[in-house]
Amino acid sequence: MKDSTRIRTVLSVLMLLSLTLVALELRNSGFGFTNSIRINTANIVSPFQKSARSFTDSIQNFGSTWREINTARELVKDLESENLELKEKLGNTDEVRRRAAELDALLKIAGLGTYEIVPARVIAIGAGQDYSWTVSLDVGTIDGITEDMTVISGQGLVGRTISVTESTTLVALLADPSSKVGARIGGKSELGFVSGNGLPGELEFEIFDPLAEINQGDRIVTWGSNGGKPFVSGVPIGEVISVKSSPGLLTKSAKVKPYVKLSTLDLVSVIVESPRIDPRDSLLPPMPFVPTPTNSSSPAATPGQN
Amino acid sequence: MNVYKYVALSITIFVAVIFQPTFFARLSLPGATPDLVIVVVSCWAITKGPAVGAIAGFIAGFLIDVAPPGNQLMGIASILLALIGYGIGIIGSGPSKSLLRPLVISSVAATTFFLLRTIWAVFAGNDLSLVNFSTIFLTQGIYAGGLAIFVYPTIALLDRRLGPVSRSDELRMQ
Repeated sequence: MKDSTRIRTVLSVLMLLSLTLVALELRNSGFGFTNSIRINTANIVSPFQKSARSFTDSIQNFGSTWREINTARELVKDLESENLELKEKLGNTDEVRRRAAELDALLKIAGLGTYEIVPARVIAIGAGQDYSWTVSLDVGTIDGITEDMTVISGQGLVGRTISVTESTTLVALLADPSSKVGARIGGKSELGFVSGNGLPGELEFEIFDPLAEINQGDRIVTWGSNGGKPFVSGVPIGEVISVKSSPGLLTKSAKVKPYVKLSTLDLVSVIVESPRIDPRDSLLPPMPFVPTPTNSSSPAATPGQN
Repeated sequence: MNVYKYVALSITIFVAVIFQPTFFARLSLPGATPDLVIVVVSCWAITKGPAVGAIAGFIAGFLIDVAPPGNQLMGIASILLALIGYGIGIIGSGPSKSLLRPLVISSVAATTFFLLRTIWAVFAGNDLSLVNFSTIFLTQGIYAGGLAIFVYPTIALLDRRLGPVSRSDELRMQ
């Protein structure tokens, strides 16, 4: 009996503590005590996460090496060891090539738009079931990152930075319900907002003008905010997959599939300086089909020529 | 519960919080990300009863809200997980030879946690699409059950190795 009273006391104390945390955070959201708890925890946890990340990588490498050992077993002993060594090197080269290709893609997009970027690796990914569409990066204030900067990958827009410590950065992805990006249909000047609703492969695009023409396959780019914060202009976001007809409403909406696969991010970059000239549609990927003669003057069909 | 066991409890939860976003999230399995944290909390609650379950839940909830990439309102996950740990301790604690009980309890705990979080997210006014709800709900339960097969023996072993069962522990388990 006495024991169960003790247990109930423990539970009540814990509930009170949790409620205190909730109250503190609601009271001074983003500042003060709870924020310093977050920053300190991030500083303690992120080195462990970084090493866990490289540990995971080495396990994956080990797995592939292990398979290679098994196939080489029949070979002569010295040849086997030599073979293993070579194959290991080969495996590493593949990984290096893949990373180089990603970096190339990043450089290309940065070069075209003349953005100044800081490359970064994703170290931790938030779980979908926690309703946090956030990832953390291995760069921080020492690399010149601040809050509300645009994050891109080789394919297009990823999200924006929401909190930065010395060595880590938290990024809210496009799919996050709090994410709202000013956007524009490529080749036109119809403006709207792309917002996340918790699905990594489907965004909501709301156009201000209810009479605007929007079709399946239309490509969406960022509109850009004043001073490039939080979003610089001209970054590809995604492609319209379906248009919702909503007669009587003040806005028109469509579903957009993002160019970036948000669930498998690895190398990304943070735009630390926006371009002096608005890149308009020059960053959109080439059209997948040959334009019909009536539609031949699409400005987005040949990126990379300017 | 002696000091070593509290240290072991904290370390297991910390390791789960580190590996969940860096390892399990990278596997990009269909549906949910395997929820190692709640499985660890469930297994401690099964092994050590309601008080330890509640403490484990509180620590785990605090860490998943605060440690990157967590970005939720601090304290909500602590409340939910402490209550879940307490509930498991009341209903399902005590030594168990078969793995079936930790498996079932972990998957029920994981799905309950997901359900409560969804209710909270909708209540907090997030503009969510719940298209994937049933997929995540199902896979969450399956993954948690699968993880429990490995996590429960580990935690039971830690519990046995780190000193004898104290008198109060024996009382609690009855």
